Amino acid sequence: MSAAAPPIFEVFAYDLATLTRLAAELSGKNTEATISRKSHPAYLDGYFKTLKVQTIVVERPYVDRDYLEDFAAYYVTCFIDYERYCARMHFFSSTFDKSAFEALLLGAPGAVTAESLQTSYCGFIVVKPLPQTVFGRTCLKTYPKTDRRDFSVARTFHANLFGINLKIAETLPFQEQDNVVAACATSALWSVLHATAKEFQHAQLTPIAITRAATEFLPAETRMIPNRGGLATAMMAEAIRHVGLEPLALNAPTNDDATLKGALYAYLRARIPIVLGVRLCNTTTPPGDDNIVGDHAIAVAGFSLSEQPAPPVTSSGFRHRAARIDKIYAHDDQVGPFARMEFDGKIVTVELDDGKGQLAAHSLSTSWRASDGSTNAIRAVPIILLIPLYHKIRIPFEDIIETVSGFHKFLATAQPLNQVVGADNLEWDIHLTTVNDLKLDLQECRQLSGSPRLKWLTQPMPRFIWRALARKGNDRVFDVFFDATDIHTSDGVHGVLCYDDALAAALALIAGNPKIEALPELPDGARRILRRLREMLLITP
Amino acid sequence: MKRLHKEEEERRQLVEKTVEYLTSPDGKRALRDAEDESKKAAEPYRQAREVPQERLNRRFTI
Repeated sequence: MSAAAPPIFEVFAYDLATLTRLAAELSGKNTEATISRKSHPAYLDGYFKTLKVQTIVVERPYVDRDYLEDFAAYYVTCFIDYERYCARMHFFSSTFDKSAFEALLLGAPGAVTAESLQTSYCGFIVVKPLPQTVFGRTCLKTYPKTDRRDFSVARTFHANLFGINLKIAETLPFQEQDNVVAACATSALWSVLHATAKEFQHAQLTPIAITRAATEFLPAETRMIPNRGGLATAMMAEAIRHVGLEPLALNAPTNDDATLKGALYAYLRARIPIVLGVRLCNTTTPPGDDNIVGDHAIAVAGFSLSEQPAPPVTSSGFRHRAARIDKIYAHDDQVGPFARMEFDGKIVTVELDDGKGQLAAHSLSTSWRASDGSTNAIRAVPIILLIPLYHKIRIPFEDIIETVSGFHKFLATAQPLNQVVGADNLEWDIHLTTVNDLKLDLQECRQLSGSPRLKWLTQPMPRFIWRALARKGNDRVFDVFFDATDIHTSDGVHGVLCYDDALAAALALIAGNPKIEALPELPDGARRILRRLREMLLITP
Repeated sequence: MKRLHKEEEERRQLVEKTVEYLTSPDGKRALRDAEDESKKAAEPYRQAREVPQERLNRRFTI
């Protein structure tokens, strides 16, 4: 007599024990003890408490495209009979039981409606039928948005549960590596490419497709699947090229959080997630080989800004809003989605294998647990950033920083004009954006009205724009737009929006003065911005 | 009309005084290091583009 088929749907009240039991049962390959030893359940429990999850609906069988491709390429050829189907757990912040859910499916009136499910939907986790590595495609709501938290890279994803269309307004897919077709770098890249596939319209690669694309040419001498050796930055860059994007690799400076934050902010605000390679080290063991946990890749999906004003980075008081970043939220496949990592200023002594021996390096907190179960012991030292860019994004970030800081220096020096500008109190928000996002922002801006508003909303602009927005408190003062698609030898300043008409007129008059034009000491950045402002206001010298 | 005229006059004076200061020896001295300062602000980002080969080839394995 064959065993009865498991129910197609079940409903449970949420708690950690139920989550753990379900992950074990639905995988069909694990005990609860196996799942409990993983770091994910405890992390997810904390996350679900923030989202106020009350109820789990289990859907099975569930066909998951990513797993199915991995199954077809690898697991199906194993002697052991691995399942081709997954299961899916859906999470809701409302309370209901199986009979109420069943009533909805039967079309009977009841307390649970499609609308109430949508309102309380927090997302889903696909459970893979594999030993140990069970957490497949996971789409969960981000932390509640505040003025401080930014999840620009998050996108809308949909789930269809027995005909009920459920929307996750803001998320970025996550999954843990399976250690077979995917390593940590594959999982990080998989998350990142999900966002860029929507942003830049390229194919969404499955984990096995990413590993294959990454290792098509490198390394030539050995096999890469099963992938237990991980991926190098050069390999990840190949996978990025495979989808038609350009990889931008940046070295993470050992003792300079400001540069790291500047780069993260510039691209995350443009809705481009970033692969961050880190060296994990255990601070409970003495510096040396023993304190190195390993090198790990994560996908940075958001950040939080401190309420403290950004410190000046130059002697003329140039402040960069990015310096306010106090936390990042990262998809860490060994922890979970949107894992908090804090810039708490702690320095660790670690060997970075770059020939410099033991170094004192800036580090971020992690949600990793040390082997003795302690938290806060494992620290992440950033090594590298890998940013997938559309080929038309050409002008590098450093050119914008140089130009804007030159303009700031001019403003700070120009007395008595600076008494009106107040350069010391300006904070520059410098990031990449698109014409659509920029116009949406300008359209919602209350400081812009009348004919300037009409002009800015209707004028043709390049698709990708570097934006330098100077604020004084919450008030906007200047907006400088650079054509990111231009060539670097060009002037590059697409437009200057001065939110104060009187200040704009004064600046344009100064810019148009022949003595200022001829001033050799004027920084090049200031000269270019002033020239463009003058051209735009049609004031000729 | 008078108010507009007054504002224009104030702006003209502000512009004149600013131009006068920027072209004075003090103003020029204050601006002299501006180019260096802006290059210095951008330098860490330029350096970040130079990724050592060892780091490009380092495997992320855990």
